[in-house]
Amino acid sequence: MNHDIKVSHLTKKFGNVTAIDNVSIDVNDASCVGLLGPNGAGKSTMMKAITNILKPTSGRIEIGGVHVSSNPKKALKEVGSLVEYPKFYPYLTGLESLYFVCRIKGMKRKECQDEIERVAKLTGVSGYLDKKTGSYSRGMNQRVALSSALLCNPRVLILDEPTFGLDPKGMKEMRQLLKKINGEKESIILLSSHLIYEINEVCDRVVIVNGGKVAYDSETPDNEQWMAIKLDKLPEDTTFLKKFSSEFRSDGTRLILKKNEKIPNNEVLMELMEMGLSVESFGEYDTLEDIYISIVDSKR
Amino acid sequence: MLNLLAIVYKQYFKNYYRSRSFYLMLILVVIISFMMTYLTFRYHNAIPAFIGGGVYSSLSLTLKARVFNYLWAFGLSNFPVFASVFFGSPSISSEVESNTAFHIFPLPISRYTLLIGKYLAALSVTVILITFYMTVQVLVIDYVFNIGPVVQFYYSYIMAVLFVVAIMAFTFMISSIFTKNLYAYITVFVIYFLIFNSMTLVFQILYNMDASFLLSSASGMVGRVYIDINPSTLLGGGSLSPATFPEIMVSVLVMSLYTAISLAVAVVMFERMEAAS
Repeated sequence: MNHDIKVSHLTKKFGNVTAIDNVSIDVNDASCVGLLGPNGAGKSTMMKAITNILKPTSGRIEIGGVHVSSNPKKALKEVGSLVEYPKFYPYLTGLESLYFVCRIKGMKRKECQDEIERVAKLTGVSGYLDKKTGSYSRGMNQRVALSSALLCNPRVLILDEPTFGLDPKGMKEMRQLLKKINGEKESIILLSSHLIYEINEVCDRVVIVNGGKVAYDSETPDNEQWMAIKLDKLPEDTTFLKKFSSEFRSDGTRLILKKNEKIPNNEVLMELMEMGLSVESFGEYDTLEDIYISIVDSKR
Repeated sequence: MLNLLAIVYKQYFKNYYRSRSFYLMLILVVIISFMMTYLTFRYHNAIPAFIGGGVYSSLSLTLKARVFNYLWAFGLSNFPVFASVFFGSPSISSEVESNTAFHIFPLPISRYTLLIGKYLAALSVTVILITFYMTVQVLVIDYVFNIGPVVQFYYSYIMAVLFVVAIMAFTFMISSIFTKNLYAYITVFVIYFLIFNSMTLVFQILYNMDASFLLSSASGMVGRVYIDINPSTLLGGGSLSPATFPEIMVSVLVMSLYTAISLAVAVVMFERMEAAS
C-alpha cells in the first residue's frame, strides 16, 4: 500500500483571511520534503489540514489514497505527526502518554513497552518518561512529542518545526535522527522549518510557501557545487571568471561560481588576489537561502 | 471500537482522578458529609423546622429516616453541578486551550470515541464522589435509626447517578462550543443557576406550574423519592409521601432527553472542532 500525500487545490480561510490559497502538492516515494516560508505563510496551516487538526475550506487531502476529512481514522493510521506545540495530559506520565499512542495505533499491550524503549533511545527521553508531563520543560515536551510521532514506525512523518524549543545539541541530534530516517527510505517525511540549513541538510525536495501559495517546488539545491566570493569591490567585467568556471554570476555583492573539479578553490583565490582583487570572504554559496530571500522579498 | 473506547477511558480516568479538581471535589464532599453527619446526630431527635414539632414526634421511625435521607439528598443537590463544572466544562475546550488537540486530533481514532471515552471517565470520577457521600449517608442513617437503607435510598442513588449523567452531558455540550475554558465555566453556571432558576420562577408565577422540563427541576427527584417536597417550588403543597412513579418517570425522561440531546450536539461540535493555534 502506498502512503503518498496528495494535496489538491487546498484552500483554508479564517473569516476573510485566506491562509492557504488553492495549493496542490504531491509527496510520493520515500523522501523528505521541506516546507519553508516566513511566519504566516501557511506552512503550519497546511500541516494541520493534512493531520485533521483543521478542516479545509475547499480542496482535498489524501494520504495513501484515503480522504483525510471523511475517513481520518484510516488515513492517519500510518501517520506520525508533531504539529505546532503539542502538549500531553498533565497528570499522565510521559510513559503513559506514549503507551496511549501505541495502543491507539493498534499495538498490543506487551509490544508497547519495547516500542517505547526503542523510540526513547532514539530521542533521548528515557530519563524522564516516568515524570508527569505537566512538569516538563519545553524541550522535554518537544522530545516526547517527537517520540510520539515516531512510535510504531509510521510510513508518513509530518513534523512542524520539530527542533523548535530544543537546545543546539538537541537540534543537531534531531537533524541527525531525521537524516537517518530519511536515509532508510522507508518513510515519507514532510518537514517544516524556519531554518534553511535544516531543510538543506535533511530534505531531498523543498517547497517554499509564501502568502498561502506554493512559490517554489524543486529538488534541494546542492550547495557544495557552488562557491561565493565576497570582494571589497566587484569588478565591472566578470568575463575573466570563464577560466575558473563554466557558470558564474554576480548577486550584487558577491561573485557566485559553479565549482570546477579541475581547479582547486585555493588556486582560484590565489589567482584573484594576483589580479589585484581583495577577497573579503570565501565559502560555499547557499543557493536555497538566495532563492528563499528572492521569493520572500518579491512579495513585499 | 470497544477496545479503543476502553483505552481512551483509562487514559482520561487516570488524568481526572490525579487532577487537583478531583481532590478539591473530594474535600468538598467530605466536608458536606461531615456536616450532614453532625446534623443527623445532633438533631435526629429534634425537629426539622419545616415539618413542625407536633407532627415530627408522631412520625414512624422509617418516615423519620426518610426525612433525614431527604435532608442528605438536599445537601447533595448542587454537588453534581459543581463536579460537572469542574470535570465537564473544560473537557473539550481545554483540548484547544491546552494544546492537547495537537496531540490527539492527528491520532487514528474517531473524535466520537475520544469524546465518549472522556465523558465516561468524567462521569466515573463524579459517581465515585457521590457514592462516597451516599455510603456515608446510609451508614449514618443506619447507625442513628438502626434501620438498613430504605428502598427509596436505591431510587435516590439511581436518580443521583442519572442527574450526573445528564448534567455532565450538558457541560460537555457547552464545552464543545468554546475554545476557552473560562467561557465554558461561566456559561454552565449562568445557564444552570440563573436561566434555569429564572425560568422556574416565571413558570411558577405566571403559569402556576412547575417547569418540570428543566434539568434543575428534574434533579429534585433525588430527594423527592423520600418525601415529595420540592425545595424550589413557590406553589406550596408537597407531602411526606414519596414522589409517585409517574413523577419519577417524568424526571427520568427529562434527564434522559438532556443526556441524549447534549451528547449528540457535543459529538457534532467536537467532530467539527479545529485547533487553529
